This record gives sequence, structure tokens and C-alpha cells, in this order.
Amino acid sequence: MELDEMKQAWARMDLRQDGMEALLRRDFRDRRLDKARSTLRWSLWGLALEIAGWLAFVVFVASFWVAHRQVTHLLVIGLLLHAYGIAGIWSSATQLFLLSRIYLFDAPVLVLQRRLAQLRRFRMVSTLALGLPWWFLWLLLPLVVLTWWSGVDLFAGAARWIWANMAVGAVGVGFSLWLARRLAGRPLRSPWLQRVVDDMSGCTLARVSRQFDEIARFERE
Amino acid sequence: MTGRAHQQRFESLLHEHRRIVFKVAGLYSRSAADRDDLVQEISAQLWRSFGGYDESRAKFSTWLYRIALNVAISQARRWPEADRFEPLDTHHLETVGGGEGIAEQDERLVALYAFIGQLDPLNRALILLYLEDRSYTEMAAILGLSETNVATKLGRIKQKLRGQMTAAQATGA
Repeated sequence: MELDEMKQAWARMDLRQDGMEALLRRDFRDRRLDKARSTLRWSLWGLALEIAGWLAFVVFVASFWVAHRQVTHLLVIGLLLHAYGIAGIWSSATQLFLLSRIYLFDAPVLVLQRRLAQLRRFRMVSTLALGLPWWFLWLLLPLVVLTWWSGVDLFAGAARWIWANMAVGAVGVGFSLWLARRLAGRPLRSPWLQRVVDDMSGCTLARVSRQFDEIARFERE
Repeated sequence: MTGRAHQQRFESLLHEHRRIVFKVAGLYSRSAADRDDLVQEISAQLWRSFGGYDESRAKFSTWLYRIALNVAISQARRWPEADRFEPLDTHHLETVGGGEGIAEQDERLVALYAFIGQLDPLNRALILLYLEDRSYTEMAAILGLSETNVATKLGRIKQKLRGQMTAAQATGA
């Protein structure tokens, strides 16, 4: 049997489409399509707001370390937070750019699928890069805010306690990665938690790599 | 164009080309419920993108195929990989035929579904466009390949199919 013969059979095929037609009509009647449109617009606005938030954070942190540049540990903490804020801006701006290239979904299939894979890989990397430092930031950020607000330098008064917590943070980073590997492959109830586990365990990266391979193979063969 | 007129134009174009949406949804779903979800996903994305549709740049059918296939392939990638290549025939045959049971009688369609079921999402798109009798130029524009590449790939698919049919006949005999 040849593909051309199958093509003839396909052409004769008559789709029973009443149910699907009703679905299309219902979508318009219930204004679901308008809702879908506004959801996407909100996600673009959300990223734009995120960038504004990160900019405000960087301005605040910069003013903090400039004001405390004579105190080494406050300068270092301020610079670390500044770098974190710049990473946040870069992450949100890049996601906004990548999303704007795909959101119409009307690019040729190979182009769009590659862009989607790039967005997915980038989201994974930025989740890790911005998420794991919270093992340290939960302490450093309040420390900066407290110093800025009240002038009390917590670090000077409790340096050993803070270093001990930094050490716990380092262990926490390792523990998070270990736990994610342990949980990898198990179905989890929360889709958000599933995504975090997949990102941290390397599952997402492996999936995206296979996607890139599949596209490359399709182009090459 | 007013919002209402814009929507009416979209609805009319979608109605005219609705079979494309149904066929794409049928080929990229694992069950009837999946297929209905996909029809809704595709129509939502088409409506989102319709503001950017420029008829001087692409035919409506080309634009629609691109979006429908992009949505369907992206959705298929979210499935566990073990589920991705499920046989299509069970749920797809439910949507075929006008009570005459064409598909059940036509072994060619059953064989075709079995063959398509083994293909990855990108090759599935190519075979769908071939079956829908799209020109090589349109297939190339939809997929983002050169026309030569489309021809070569189709040649390979035909060869693979021929090999499988020969092997199946040999086993049957």
C-alpha cells in the first residue's frame, strides 16, 4: 500500500464534526476567547511590572551600598544584592523579549518550536539562578532593610550567628538539589512544585535538550 | 474595523476553514476529551493572534495551519513521553464517517493511523499537510523548511511506509 492510496482514503474521509462545531460556537458565546486574550495581555504586563519592581530594588540597593561604602561587610552585601537585582532585571526582560517573539504563535512551526524551547530553557535557568539564593537572601535582605531603616548594623552585632546561617544556607542549597533529584519522576500534586522539582533535578533541561535534538534531526534528515 | 466586525470576519474565516482545526486536533490528541480541549486551545490562540494576521503576507489557511500545528505540537510536548505515541485509531475513528462506517471498512485508513501514530510531532505535521494536499510551497512556508527539504522528507516517509507495509505483508503471509 502506497502513501498516495492512503491520501485518497483520507480525502474521502468525512469528519463527524458536530460536537467540535458546537465547541467553537460556545467559546464565542461564553466570551471565553476574550478571556484568553486578556490573560495573555496580563502576563506581558506582569513581566513589565516585574521589571519595574526589579529596577526599584536595584535603585534602593545601590543607594544603600553607596551610603555604607565605608563599612566593608555592608558594601559587600549591598553589591551582592545589586548583582541579584540586575540578574532579576535581565531575567524578566529576557523573558519578555522571548515571550513577545512567540505570543502570536504564527511563526513557521520549526522557528516557533525552537523559540519555545529557548524560552523554556531560559525560564528553567532563571528559576534556579533567582530561587536558590533565597537560602541566603531571607537573612541578608532584612538585614539591609533594618540597617537602612533604623541604622542598626545587625551584622556587626551578630556576625557569628549570621555566618552560621550562611553556612546553613549553603547546606540548604545542596539539600534542595538532592531532594529535587529524589523527587524527580514522581507525580506531585502541585503543578508549581512539579515545575520547580523538574527544573532543579535537571528533568526540564533534559526534556528541552531532546526537543532541540528533535528539531535539529527533523531539519537534517 | 469595529470590534464586532473584526470578530464577525474572524468567525466567518474560522467557519470556512474549521476542518483544518478539527483535523489537526484529531491527529494530536490521545482521546476525544483531549481533542475537544485542543480545538478550544487552538481557537483561543487563533483569536488572540488574529489582530496580527496580514493577508498580504500569508494565505489564511497557511496562517491557520501554522498556529494550529504550533499549539498542537506544544501541547503534545507536555504529555509524558510514553503517552505521546499512542495509537490514534480508537478515538480518531469515532470522529470519522457519516454513519456509514467508512473508516471501519477501509483498512487503508486504519493502516494510515497506525503509521501516523508512530511519528514524532514534527513528522506528523508534515504527513498531515501532505494528506491535505497542500503544495510543497505552502508546506515549506508552514513548517519553515525549504521546498527541496520537504520533497526529500516526504520521499523518505513514503519509503519508510513502503518498508513497513512490505514487512507487515510478509508477517501476515
